[in-house]
Amino acid sequence: MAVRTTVDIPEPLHDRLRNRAEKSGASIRSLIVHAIEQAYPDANKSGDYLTRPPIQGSGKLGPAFPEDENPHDFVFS
Amino acid sequence: MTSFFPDLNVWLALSVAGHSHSADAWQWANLLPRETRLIFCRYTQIGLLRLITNQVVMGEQTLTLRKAWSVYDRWLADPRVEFYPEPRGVDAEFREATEPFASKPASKWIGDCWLLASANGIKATLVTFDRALYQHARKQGHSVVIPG
Repeated sequence: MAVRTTVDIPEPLHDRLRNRAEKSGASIRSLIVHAIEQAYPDANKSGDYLTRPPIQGSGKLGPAFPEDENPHDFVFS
Repeated sequence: MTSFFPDLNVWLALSVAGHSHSADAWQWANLLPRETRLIFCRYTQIGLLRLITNQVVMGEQTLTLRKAWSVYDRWLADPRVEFYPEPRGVDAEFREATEPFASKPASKWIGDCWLLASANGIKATLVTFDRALYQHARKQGHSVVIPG
């Protein structure tokens, strides 16, 4: 269940939040909830959140490793 | 709850530390609230498995299929990540998404249009590094972001 609350925050902080929301695609509400979760973590919560890539190898990647585009040809081939 | 639909290359950037966009992808992902959903579909699931087991793509970091499944399973163990089956009615969305390319031999766009149609079908924001896909999605009125 969600609880509605109203707080006054400094305008520059609100601008930062709005900019971050626009860049990330997340809502301002989501960013605030996330910041609170990070600052005051729930000790009873046992989530297994990934925070870095699961493939950490250092070897050279292949010649067809993609940059920006979806490499559809390798999926369908 | 906000749902995001990373395209294939974003899943690769999130999965492989050596990807040139990995830092951008993780800067974005680590800012997302825990209630956010990151969604795999069958195409991105198969695509990720195919890419990380392909030597031409992964070079010296090529995984066996068993290890590739363990990477996928690790993703699913993250409470934010879910696999969604093909949404009902996505066929019509797919045809509509390909319509702007109807007069072109646009093979690359077929895959991208499927991703766009899938994201739209599950009402999720498409996440991509592909600027052409980003511009196209915006032009068509879809929700889309570039991480970073």
